[in-house]
Formats: sequence, structure tokens, C-alpha cells
Amino acid sequence: MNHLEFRNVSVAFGHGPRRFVAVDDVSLSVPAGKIVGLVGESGSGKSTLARAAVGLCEPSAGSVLLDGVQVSHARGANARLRQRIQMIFQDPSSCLNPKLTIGQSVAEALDAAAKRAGTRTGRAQRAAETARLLESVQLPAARAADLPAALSGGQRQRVALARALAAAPGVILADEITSALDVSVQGSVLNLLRHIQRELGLGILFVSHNLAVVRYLCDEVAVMQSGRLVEHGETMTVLDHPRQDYTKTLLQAVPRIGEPLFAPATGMIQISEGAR
Amino acid sequence: MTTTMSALPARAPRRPATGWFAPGSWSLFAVRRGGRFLVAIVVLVTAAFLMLQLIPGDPARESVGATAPVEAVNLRRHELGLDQPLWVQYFRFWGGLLTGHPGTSITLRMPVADVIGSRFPATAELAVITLVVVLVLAIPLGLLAAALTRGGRRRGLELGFTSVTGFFSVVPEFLMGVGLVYLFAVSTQLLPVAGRGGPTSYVLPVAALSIGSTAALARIVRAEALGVLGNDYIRTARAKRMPAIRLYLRHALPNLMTSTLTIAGLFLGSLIAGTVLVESIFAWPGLGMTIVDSIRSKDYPLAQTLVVVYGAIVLGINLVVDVLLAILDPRSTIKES
Amino acid sequence: MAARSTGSPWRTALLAPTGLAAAAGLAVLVLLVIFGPVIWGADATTADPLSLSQPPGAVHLFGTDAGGRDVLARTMTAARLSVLMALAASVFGVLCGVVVGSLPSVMPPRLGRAVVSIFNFAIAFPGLLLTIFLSVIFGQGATGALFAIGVSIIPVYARLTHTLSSSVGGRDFVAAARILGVGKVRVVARHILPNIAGPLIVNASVTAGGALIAFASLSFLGLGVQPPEFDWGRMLNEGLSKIFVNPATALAPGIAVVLAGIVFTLAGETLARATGVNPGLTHRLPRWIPRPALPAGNVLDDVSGNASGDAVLRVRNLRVAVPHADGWREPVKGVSFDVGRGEVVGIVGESGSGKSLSCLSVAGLTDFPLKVTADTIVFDGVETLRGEHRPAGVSARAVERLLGTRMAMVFQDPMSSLNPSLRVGGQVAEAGFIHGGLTRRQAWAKAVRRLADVKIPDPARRARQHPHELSGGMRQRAMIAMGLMGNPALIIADEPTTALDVTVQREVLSVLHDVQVDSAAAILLISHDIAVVTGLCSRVLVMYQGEIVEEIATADLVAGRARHPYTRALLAAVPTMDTDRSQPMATIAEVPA
Repeated sequence: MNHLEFRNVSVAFGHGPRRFVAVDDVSLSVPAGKIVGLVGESGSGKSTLARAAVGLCEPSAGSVLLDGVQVSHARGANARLRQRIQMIFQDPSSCLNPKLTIGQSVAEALDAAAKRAGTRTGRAQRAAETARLLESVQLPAARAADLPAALSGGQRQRVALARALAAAPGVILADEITSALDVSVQGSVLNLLRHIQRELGLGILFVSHNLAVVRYLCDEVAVMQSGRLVEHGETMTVLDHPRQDYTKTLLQAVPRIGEPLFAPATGMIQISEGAR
Repeated sequence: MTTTMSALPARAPRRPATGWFAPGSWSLFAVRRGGRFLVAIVVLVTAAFLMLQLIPGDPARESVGATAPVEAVNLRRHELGLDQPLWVQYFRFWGGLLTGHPGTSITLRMPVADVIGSRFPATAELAVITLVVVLVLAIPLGLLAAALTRGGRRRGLELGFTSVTGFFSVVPEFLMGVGLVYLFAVSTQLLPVAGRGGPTSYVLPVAALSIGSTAALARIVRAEALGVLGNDYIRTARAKRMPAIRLYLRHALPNLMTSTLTIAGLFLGSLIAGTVLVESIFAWPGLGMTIVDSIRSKDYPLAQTLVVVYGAIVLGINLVVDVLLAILDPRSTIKES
Repeated sequence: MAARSTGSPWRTALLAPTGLAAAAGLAVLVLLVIFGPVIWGADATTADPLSLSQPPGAVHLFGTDAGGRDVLARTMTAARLSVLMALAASVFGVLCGVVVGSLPSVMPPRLGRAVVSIFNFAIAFPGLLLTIFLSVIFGQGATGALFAIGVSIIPVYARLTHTLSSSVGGRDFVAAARILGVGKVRVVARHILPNIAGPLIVNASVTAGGALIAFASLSFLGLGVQPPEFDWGRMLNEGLSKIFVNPATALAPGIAVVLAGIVFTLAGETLARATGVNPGLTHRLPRWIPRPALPAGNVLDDVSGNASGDAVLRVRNLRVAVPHADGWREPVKGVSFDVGRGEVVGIVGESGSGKSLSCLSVAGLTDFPLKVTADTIVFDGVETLRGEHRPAGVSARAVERLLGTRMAMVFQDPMSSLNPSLRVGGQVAEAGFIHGGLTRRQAWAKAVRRLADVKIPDPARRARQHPHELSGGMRQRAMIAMGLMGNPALIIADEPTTALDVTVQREVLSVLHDVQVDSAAAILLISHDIAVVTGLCSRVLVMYQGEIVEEIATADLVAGRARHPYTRALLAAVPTMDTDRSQPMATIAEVPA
């Protein structure tokens, strides 16, 4: 069982007049074995929510639970439990330490998992495990000795996935992991993620601004706007029959291949962008 | 955060742009920056006070010398106020500074305030003239070098510029001073080398102080300018096909001012330090000679006050630079708060 | 885009002139430090009462000082003390500084901020001043000076370490390590310090040079090394008073200080190149073999295209070359296309396909050292490029004016394409009085009208604001307004909405669309997003590795009539709102960069 739950989570930055609420009272659950898509525009708080789950920032109110155990603001055993939530980031150029070989990066996660389990892994065992993980993300095991600079963007994202898997996770948070990749590479990363998720029965929170990608990959979709969760449901239900106006606006704005964006010669501008 | 567009501040609830202590407002900036200046002054004065306490051994004994009789030591201890409890000494120190009577110099046998009053103008003059010379020369030089060598053009000029400025920025002010004395006084006897008198007496001290700084600042201005010229908005400006002079002065220069001013502030600080050396070479009757003499002769009251004066000058420069930055670059007040 | 030599960066850096000079200088310094006092020590201290303050001569190359001692011997002997003291102070200051600067990354945030504010306070004071203050405490003498200089280095290095570690600490791999539960100290040791070691080492060399000079300064002031010990600063102090008698007594140690300082600086530069902190001087460009321009009237018109004979833009065999160590490479390899008047043409392709570079070249906005050649580029009836240059008979001024008024540009990143320190209105108005013959006041009024045309609410107020006060969508619209100050025949929009949210994207695209309809300007839209291109354009150019692999009408592309396999693969790889969720995504094999 690996069930991630956000219960009335708020995240605020700053104090006094500069206090800024990035996430406002969000409750969301990522059931074991499901991919939940989290969509919204920049500044909607979707990434902040994901970061709050792993402790890169802590909720200012509410709590994050894994299998019913509170892991936010946790110490000791619960903090170790939180390591079963792993995260993959957007930028392939910054996701790996440029001074460590990709084998070392993966091994670090293996060590963390071993430490959590209270076991010790020998050098040979660790090397074998690293090789197996690299192969599971379709990279030759021999590349373990390479530095990240020798890898393409898509390959680095796959190493990041291998590193997350090495930590024996129950839930993976994927934060815009294909946004910086070309479409040709995006497809293979999506296929890989889906394949591994099905094989290991992981829960995934897939944060993205790309509705088409979320539609393809996710079982459920949650929509965030200005820090609040506005709609959540089964993917095809939400996308085919959105209930909220904001979700409808988002869906209408997505350009579709083969559909002209504008009827010829009619200005249909609606200034909805507020002054910032 | 998603990095498609980092719009974090954009989502902050809107507040009126005016009003007291609104984020980014002038009043908030003034209060914060002024507060920081005051805290820094308190720390500076406390540090200057503690300096005397931190001297290993007995400052009174150090001050009168190892061979002096015990009575002399005790007298000196009384003179320095070291026979008082620590907190009394501390408040006396503050009292002296605030009332403008920070004690009497031991060696010069005259009030510290008078010493500083008579010496300060000479140092200030030297520093201000030098700064003006440095800014007037370095900024156009650096900008011109950047314009001519941007994107790897004119490798020869780039090599020449970096070598010459690199050489002069390595030579410290006092060596420049010694070299200038040799060139203009020993071999050619063109210019006076000591003392403060007519306009010609300023030439060598100002040159000694400014050559190295000009070279170093010109290098930095060029590097900064190359950075600015690589920005997208310069490409936008080029797309308007404007004359080159307009491109550099109107579109590049304003964006250069923030970093240049910040660095110029640091330079002014080190110029103040450089005056100490240059004054001692050219027998310039300023504070620099005084502080060196006071340290050498263990004239602690004078040294302590001079530390506060020099420190306050440096902090004042930082304050002025920050205020100027806030005026020139409206974004910096926002960053500040 | 500068050319780089092949081989290891250390080798390259060492074999460069600066590298060789630095290595030779360091070798001399090391030898002097070890053997200087052994060889010249006796001469340096033997006073010769018969030859006091002698000028340079055959026996004493630099003469003698006031005590009758050989100046050259003393200068050589003093190297050991001068260099070792400087190194000791630097090592002490740098090590302590790195430790202090790493503390905020390890400590609880509040305590860390306190440490940062302490060294930020200390750094406000110039090093030499701090050193002079500290020498009050430590007293005059070599040890005192050593500690004073060492301590004054600490805040500088602490801040450098802190600044560098903060930037590395914000990167995702550090976040990943924290999520794995790696301890704070281990994060600093394993993930942060190795990634900032380069700049730290480079600066250590510069710091050592600074310490050498600081020592000389202190000794010169009489606050450093005390007699009978002597270093270069002390010798300068003694020599200055005798400068009229024997200038060499002051000049010899002075030259020594400057040379040693230069050696440390050169070593720093060499290290900077070797560690990639600073690439140093640009390399010599590879030899360029000019391609002969075709004679006038002989341009092959091989592009069929859908554009009518009256094209607003005609590009033939456009090539862009970028210098590399092994010669020129061509990211754009012979591109030909037309854009008809009022036509909306899209260019799609992935990163590195050359689509942006092609358009920048057409607009004449590529910068040195890129080489742009074409059989011909004709814009709005004027040939702007033939071969490598503007054709004879077309004045530079005329081309500038033409491009400035008839071609508009919209770039990708609205955050950076407007000048942050100028008002929006002024930036829009500029085009009006540079080329349009308007006064500043008229241009401003026209700019406000143009801002209104692109649907910016309250344009008069917005015109007076700076770019950071506008949202991303508004800035992109301001860019469009800028282009409308002239009378554009072509708008080149290079990924204009990539950085924007979908709802904002639609607004900006709709402004572009309206402008095209109202002004009959043609649009060349570059995008990686096929949906955007097909939604707006009537014709699409597909670019792949510097070439246009297919030119196709949007209707044909949408109907699945693409001929080139790359076009078909690209179309299939894009997830859409109709993609079959049960099937794996179509993929394209990665091309090695």
C-alpha cells in the first residue's frame, strides 16, 4: 500500500505584508497504483504542492500523509518513511550532479534505501543493482561510468527516474519532467514512465501544464488555479465534461492540430489577463 | 516552481502601490536601509572599543614601553580609562564620540577631534578627486573596449586591452607611487613629490591612486558591458536598426549602471584604504599618515577614533551607493524589501 | 559560439602563452623561495661600510643600500619571507573562509542568516583597512601582520563560498539528495563543494597575489616585518627615503612585488581556463573560404512554393556557418523559401534544427563570428544579401531603413526581450522617430495608439511603466506594437508563445492574427508546436538538422498527406487531445548532439 494524501494543505512564503499563499487548503489523494495528473498555469501552486510532499518546503497548515501516517513536519521514523516519496524534476541540465558519474548518483539513492531498511549492501551488490536499474530505464549498464555531460536531455531524465527508483519509492512525483524535452524524446520518456508504473504498481503525481500529455498518461486529473484545487476527477470525465469554468477555459485554449485557431478575419480577443 | 514563467511575485495579492511601508515603497526602503546603517555603526563602534580590550597583554604597558616604571604604567592606565569597569569605559567611549570629544591623543597631546578636523579635508580631497578621475576615465574606456571587442571581434585589441589593464590593476597604489616618484621627481624633476600645495602637488598622488583603479574598473565595465550586450533586449534594439551610438548609450549604458555603481562603491572603499599608503609616500598631511603613526606609537585613543572615522566613511559610502542604486534602478528597492 | 581547441582543457590552458608564462613564473618563484636565502643570504646581510648607498655598478648590479648591503642579493633573499608569508596568510584565510561560508548551508536557517549578515558586514570594509585595524590588535610584526591579513581574507572568501553554494544549492540534484535523506554536511561535501571548487581555486590564486601585496603594504607602512628581518615591503620602506641617492634600492623590491603579483594573476587566469570558470580570450577563427556570389540575374529559381510571383521575402540557398576548432560547421545548410504578401507561413522543427538561426539571418540580426551567405535574399523588393555581402548599389542606410520599418520581430522570451531600464512607451516609440520622421512627442502618441491596437488596457499608463510591471502576455503584445510603429510587410515571430501559459498564448496569437488581417502583413511563425503552426498558418516548412525537409500546405499536413518520413514521425509523436491512450506513444530516435 502506497497511498499519498494531502489533507487541507496550505503553503505560504514570507511573513507579514509580504506573506504569499502559494497553495491554499488543498486536499488531494494519490491512490496506490494510480497516476494522478496535476494541471494548472504557471503560479497555480502545482509544483509547490509537490515540493511540500517531499519536504522541500513544509505545509504552513494541513498535513501530508503516506498510508495514513503523517510525514509532513516529521522527524525520525516518519521522516524516513517520507523518503518513500521520490521526486523527478523539470530541468535535465540540473537534475544530476555534474561531478558524479551517473552510477554514483544512482548508488547514493541505493545507499539511502539500504540505510532506511537497516541493511548494508556490498560493493558488488550495489554495482549489480545500479546496472539493473539503468537497464530498467533502457540505458546500457556500461554508461554507469559516464558523467551527466555525456548524456542527452532525455537520457538524463531517465537516470533521474532510475535514481528515484533506487530509493525504493512507493510514490513518485514527476514535476514537468518532459517540458524541457523535444516532442520526439518526450514520447519515449512517457512510455517508459507508464511501463515502470504498471510494473511496480507505483502511485504517481504527474505535474504538467500540457493537457494532452496528462490526458494520455493519467488515470485522474486535478486542476489547480491560484493555489486552490478547482476540479478533480477521472481523466476522461474531467476533460470531456468539465464542470468548472476555469477547466473549460483551459481546455478551450489548447491548440489542436487541424483546427484553425481563429475564424478568418474576426478579432476575438478577450483580455482576461489581470494586471500584475 | 514551474519554470515556464516564474510568475511567483505576480500572484501576490495586489496591494496599493502607494501608502506607508508598502512593499517596494520609498519609506520602507529608507527605514530598512537606515536601520541597517545604524546597526552597522553600533557594531563598528563596539568593535573599535573592543579592539583595545583584545590587545594581548596590558595595553597600558604596551603603550608606555617595556622599560617604563610602574607609576608611568598606572598613569597611562588611568589616562586610557582602563582602571574603570568595562561598561563604564564603553559608555564613556560612546559619550566621547557623540559629544565630539573622543579623548586626547597621547603622542600629539591635543584633542583627537582637533587632529581629525585638521587632517580630514586633505584625505577627503584626495579621495574625491581620484574617484571622479577614475569614473570619468574607466566607464567610457570599458564601454568602448566592449563595443569594439564584443562577440570576439578584434582579438588583437582585446589582448592589448586585457594585458595593459591587467598589468596596471596588479600594480598596487604605493608601488605606482614609488614608480611615479622615480619617474617625475628623481629622473625628470617635473613635479613636486611631497606635501600638499599648489595644483601640481595633486598630480602624482591622484595618479598613483587612480591608475590602478581605472584599469581595474575599466576591465570590469568591459566585462559587464559584454554581458549586457549579450542580452535579448539588445537584439530587440538592433532589430530597430538604430545608430550604434544610440544602441550603446541609450540601451546598454543604463543597464550597466547598477553593477558599475555597486563595484564603484567597493572601489571607493578601497581607495580610502589606498590613501593611507599614498599619503605616506607623498607626505600628504591627511588621516592616513595619522592612523599609521598612531598604531606605531600605540596612541590608542587616536587609533580607536580613527578606526571609527574610517569605518563610518566606508559605511556612509555604502549607504550613498545603495540610495543611488534605488534611484537609478526602481527594481532594487523591491529586491531590498 | 567561440571556437575551442580540442584536447584536455588543462593542456590547452597550460600551452597558451599565459599558461606558459604562469608556469615559468611559478617555477622561478619556487626556486627562489627554496634556494634564494641559501645562495644570496650571506651577501644580503653582510654590510660593507666602504660602499654605502652605491649606485648600480659591475660589483653590485642594483647598487647597495644605506647599510652597504647588496640590493639584488637582498631582493632575492627576501623572496622566501615575502612569498611564504603571503601563502600562509592566504591558506589560513581561504580555509577559514570556506568553512565559515559553508556554515549557513549546514546550520538552521535563522543562525545561518546571522552568520551571513556578519560576513556581509565585515566585507563592506576594504581588506587593507581591515588589516590595518587588526594590526592594532595583533601589534606590529610579522606574526601580527600574518593573522591580520589572513583574518581579512575570511569574509571575502566566506561570501564567495556562500554565494556560489547558494546557487548550486538551489539546483535540482541538491533537492534530490535532500529528498533521499542525505545529511546536510554530506550534501555540502559531496554535492556542493566539488561543484564550486573551480572558482574557489581560481580565486585562491588571485587572493595569494593580493596577500603578497597586502604584506608589502603593511611592511612598507612599518606595521609588518620588523628589522633585522626584511621582506620586499620593508626594503621599499627603507629604499624610498634613499630614492634620490640610489633609486634601485626602492625599484628592485618594487619590481619583485609586481612580477610576483603578475605571476599569481597569470596562474589564476590559467586555472580559470583549465577549470572552465572563464574561457579566456577567444580563439582564432578557422580559415574562412569565401563562396563566390552568383552573378546578378542568375539565381536559380528552384523553389516551387505556393507563394505567388510577388513574394515579400525570397530566400535562396541560405547558409549559416559557426566556427569550431576543426573548422566551420553549418547549422543551416542551404535553405530556400518564399513568403508571399500577406501569407502566414510556419516553420516547425525541434531544438537545433536551425529554424531560429535561419530567421535571424534573414533579419540580418546574426552576430559576429557567424557567417551568413545566400545566393540571394530579397525582402520587399530589395535584395539585402547576395553571397556574403549586401549587393553593390544597395546602400546600407536604405537596408537599415527598410528592415527597421517594414520588418517586425517578436522573440521568444518576453521577460528578456524588452529593455528593463527603459519605459515601455519609449521603447515602442523609438522606431517612430528613428525611421518614421516623427518628433518624440508624436512618436509617443503613436506608441500609445499602437499599444491600444494590440489590446493593452489603459495604454497611456502602461506606456509610462517599466517592463517588469507588465505581465508576460502584455510584454509580447508590446513587442508586436513595436513592430507596428512602422508599416510592416513581414512579422517574424520566433517562438512567440513558448514561454507563456495556454490561455495567454491564445491571446497573443489572436493579436498576431488580427494584425495580419488588418495590416495585410505576412507572418513567418517559428514554433516547435505543430498545433500552433497548423492553427495559424496556411503553409508549413519542416526543418530538420539545418535543412527544410518538406514544404507542405497546412491542409495537406493535417490530412496526413505529408511525404517526408520525418514530418510524419514528428506529427505522430505529438500527444494530442485525441491520442489513443491504450497505445504507446510514437517516438523518434534521438540524434546525437
